[in-house]
Amino acid sequence: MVNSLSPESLQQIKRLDLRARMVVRGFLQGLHASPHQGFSVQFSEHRRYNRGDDPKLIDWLVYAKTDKYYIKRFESETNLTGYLVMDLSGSMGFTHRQTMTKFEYATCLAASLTYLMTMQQDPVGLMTFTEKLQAILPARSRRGQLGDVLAGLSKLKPDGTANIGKCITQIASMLRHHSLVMIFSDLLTDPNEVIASLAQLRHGGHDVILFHVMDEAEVHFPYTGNVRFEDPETGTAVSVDAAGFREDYLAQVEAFREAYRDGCNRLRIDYVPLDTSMPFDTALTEYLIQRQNRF
Amino acid sequence: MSFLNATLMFGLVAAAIPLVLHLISKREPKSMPFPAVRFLTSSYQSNRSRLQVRRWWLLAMRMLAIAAVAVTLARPAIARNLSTTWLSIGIVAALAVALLVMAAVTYSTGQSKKLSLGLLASSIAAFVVSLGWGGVTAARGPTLNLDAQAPAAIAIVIDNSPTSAWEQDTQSLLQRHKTIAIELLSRLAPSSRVAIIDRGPEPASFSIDLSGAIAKVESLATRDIATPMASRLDAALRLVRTSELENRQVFVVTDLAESTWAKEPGALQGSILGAESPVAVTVIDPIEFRGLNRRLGVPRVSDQTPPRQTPTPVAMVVSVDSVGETDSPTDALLPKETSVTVEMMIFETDPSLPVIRNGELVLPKTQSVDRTSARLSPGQSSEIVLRIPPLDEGTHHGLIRLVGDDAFPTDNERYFTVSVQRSTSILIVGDVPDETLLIAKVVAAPFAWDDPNAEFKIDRISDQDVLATRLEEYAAVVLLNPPADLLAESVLTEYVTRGGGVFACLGPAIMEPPGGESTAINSQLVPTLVRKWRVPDPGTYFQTTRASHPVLSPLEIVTGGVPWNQFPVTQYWQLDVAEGDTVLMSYASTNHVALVERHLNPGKEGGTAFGHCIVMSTPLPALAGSAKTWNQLFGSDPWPAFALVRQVIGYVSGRDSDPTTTTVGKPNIVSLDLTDDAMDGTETERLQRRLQLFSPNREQAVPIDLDASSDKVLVAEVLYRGAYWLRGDGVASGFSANLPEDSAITRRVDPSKLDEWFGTGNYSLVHNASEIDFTRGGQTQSILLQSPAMLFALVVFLLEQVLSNRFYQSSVSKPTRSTRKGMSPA
Repeated sequence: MVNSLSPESLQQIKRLDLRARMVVRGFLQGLHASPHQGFSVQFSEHRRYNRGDDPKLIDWLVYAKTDKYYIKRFESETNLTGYLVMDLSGSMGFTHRQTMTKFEYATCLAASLTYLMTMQQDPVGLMTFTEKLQAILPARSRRGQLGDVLAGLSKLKPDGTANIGKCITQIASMLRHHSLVMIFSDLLTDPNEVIASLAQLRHGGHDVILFHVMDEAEVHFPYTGNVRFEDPETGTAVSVDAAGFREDYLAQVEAFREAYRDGCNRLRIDYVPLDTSMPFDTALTEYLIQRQNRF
Repeated sequence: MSFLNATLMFGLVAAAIPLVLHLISKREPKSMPFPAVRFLTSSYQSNRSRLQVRRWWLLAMRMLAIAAVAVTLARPAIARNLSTTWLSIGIVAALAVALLVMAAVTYSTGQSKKLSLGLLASSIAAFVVSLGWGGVTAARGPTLNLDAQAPAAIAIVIDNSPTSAWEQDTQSLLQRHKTIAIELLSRLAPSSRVAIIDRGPEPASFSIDLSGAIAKVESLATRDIATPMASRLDAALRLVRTSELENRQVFVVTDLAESTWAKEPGALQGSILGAESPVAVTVIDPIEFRGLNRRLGVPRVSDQTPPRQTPTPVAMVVSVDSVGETDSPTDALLPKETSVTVEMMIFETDPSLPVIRNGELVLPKTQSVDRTSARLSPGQSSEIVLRIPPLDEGTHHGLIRLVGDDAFPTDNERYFTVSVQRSTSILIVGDVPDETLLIAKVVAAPFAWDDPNAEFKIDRISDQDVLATRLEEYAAVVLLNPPADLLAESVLTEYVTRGGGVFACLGPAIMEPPGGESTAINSQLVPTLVRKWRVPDPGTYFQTTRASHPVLSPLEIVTGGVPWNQFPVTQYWQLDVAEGDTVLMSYASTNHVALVERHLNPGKEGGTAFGHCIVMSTPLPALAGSAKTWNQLFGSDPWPAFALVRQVIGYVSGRDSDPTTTTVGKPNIVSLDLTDDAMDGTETERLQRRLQLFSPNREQAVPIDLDASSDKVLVAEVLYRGAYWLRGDGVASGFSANLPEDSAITRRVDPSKLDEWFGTGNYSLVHNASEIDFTRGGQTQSILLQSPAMLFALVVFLLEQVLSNRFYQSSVSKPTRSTRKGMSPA
């Protein structure tokens, strides 16, 4: 199952909807005994009234027909509105092994989550940002929404620089209802700024999952020799002896992730550090845990 | 400082290779997009300085490693007397490096810039000091002659003493010595002066060229008689010192045998140290003696002039030695007990042999005549006796050999010569028949006195019958207690003058004149009698004055000496010896003569070789009458007197004149047994007589011209062991020569013994030619720094490895911390 969910194998499937379906089906097959199967589905049932049940729940229409007290269960509707927030900065288009960019990885993950959420009848919306918040697809739960989201995702191309903090703040001010905001970004900016804006989002009553997507090379730094590294966003270049710098680099990356992990923990935000070599089930599991915590 | 292979110093250029590679690799870094540059820039400055320091160190190490290898290959050397200075320079340079390391550490760890600059400045100062000091020392120091190809004055002393015949692993020591010498010669510059000096007596001289020297080496053979090593070394040192070449060396290729080196070196040390121009001495000791050696001692022939048809016993010592280390694996294979077979061979008598035929010495055939065996363990020795069979009249050569081969064939063969002579007539004159009979028995022993096979044909007469006897028929006349008038008889004097021999034992028969005057005997045979002496009890006794005389020399080899003091003499005649008389024995603590030899007409033309009278001043055997009180020489167990009488009579009769078996190196006199035919003929014919001497190891016979009167031949050069044949018309004589037993001792001296010879530190001891340093012979002794340089290169290389491994760690990293932290399985 893990193999079928690995980025390498999914990369061979070109159509995003198929890819997403593949991920979710494969994932759900693994969860066949899961107790999560029923939640959020609109469902009702009747049972005999027992003492102690709330009399308000008695279905009087049934009483009229049968002259017996029955009560109705699970009549409420799901109300989890999900927003996929995609970072469209140029750095997201980076790949070291030329297999799957960070953005492709994030897109694939987002598509899978969309598929899963639409299966649960949850409304899903899509937002992207660079310097400012861009394309917005409102959250709906209608039948064509899955196709709209996937089409929107497949059209996106990462380019330019991003201002994550500002955009998240914008999102926080924009969303009215309690929503689940899933952010896909490499977060290559000042962690404090991002965490501050994430705090605003949380104060708005939204649940947040932060998918921190990094490239495999960014995490493991497999370079040797004298290398000139160029930032595609800022154009900053630095020539270093890669092997000599590796130790320091890895420490820096770890500190960077730790800063986000600490900040997110404080804000009760789910922080999911990912790199492009990791299977998708990690991300999906994270989503489901989030849902479970809500209900 | 100098370099053996200075051209290889160009290898220092190769030290630039790492620098060039560094510059080339630095020029084009790979360009790569990387979004996470911010993680690199944050620690960029501190990291960059540390990495730069490391990289410079790495570069320096690589350059230094290549430079060190280049210097090592160039084989640096310093003058020995400047070694302390160079050591100090090295310490300063090491200090500079240490300061530099400290400066680098302070710089890379970002400590005070002032501190690192100060350390750097101190380091540079120390470098400058060491470089300047080194430069000055190198410039002012002596020039070292390190060129192995520079011409040198070289003397190679090759030890070809008898021990060099030792064979080990199918090769004799001499062959090994020669191989080493030729290898040495092949390494010399063509214009070198070379002297090949062996243990022979020839004067040392330089060979014309190298090929001449090689030819001389190849022609060397083991010498039975070796000139002392000290004199050959002295000659070699003096010779090389005469050369104008600066590099002077003496190589000694030797086996370190005790027979060569155990002796005292004499003034050799002085000749090495004392002179202004020192000569480098190298002792090359290629191999140690190892193996089993069976040894045959010098044979002792009981009678070198045996009578006809009488077997003669020959005694000798046979021993087996295990030579060399006892724990060697080959020794384990040695049998615990070895059977040793000794065989005696006699050369057949052939009047036409030996002869030189086609340039080769053809000897008569040998015939095995006796053989015996003994079983001996290593370290044991045993005395064995063989018998020479009854032989005909004439000179017979023989050899005794050990059957089978061993490591040292030289001591497996011994030679002997016996001269069987017809019986010699002697006349014993005495008035007491018992006394004459006793002397006759003494002389004839072990035969009966009248046995025809005995060596002597003895006649006994009384004093008054002398005049009626034809004395010419006798080879010697023994006068026992002769009266004065008998001694004065002209017949006796004439007899001696014509070549006869007289042994006179003076006794009471000579009357002492009253009044204490000298006893006047008108005789040329005996010295003037001064007076008769009586010595109170316990009396006096004989004391040898001239031990080397043929009469006394056999007595001298008796172990513990002859106990003459047990045979007291209480009365004797004091003799007034004349000039030309030879005093053989005297009385203890006096200068009174006991035994004296007198030659008559010495040097007179036409005289014979002998013709002498031996006078004893006390009577023999002093058993009867008044003579009884004179001495107790024939008292109980009178073996000294017995032997003395036999020796004297043998000597005066000319029978025991010269030894027929001698040792190598001693000149030998051969008495010619002239036949009557040879003595006949005209004087001219006799003058033309020519003899030939056939020596062992010689491909030519040595002609010897004799004048008519000589009946003795002196062979001065007895250089080789073996049988020497003297042949000519009517003459068939000769002798044998053996090696002295101490001439070939295969035990090795301890190498520290060489310190006594050359002085500690004045020589070097090597075991094969490849260890030889040709550059030692210059004015200045040098120390080769190749090994320390090699070690330094190795250390630098290891440091480079350590540094570079830290630099380029393996890119395979351990997995980063799990990103699933906080997740539970779904």
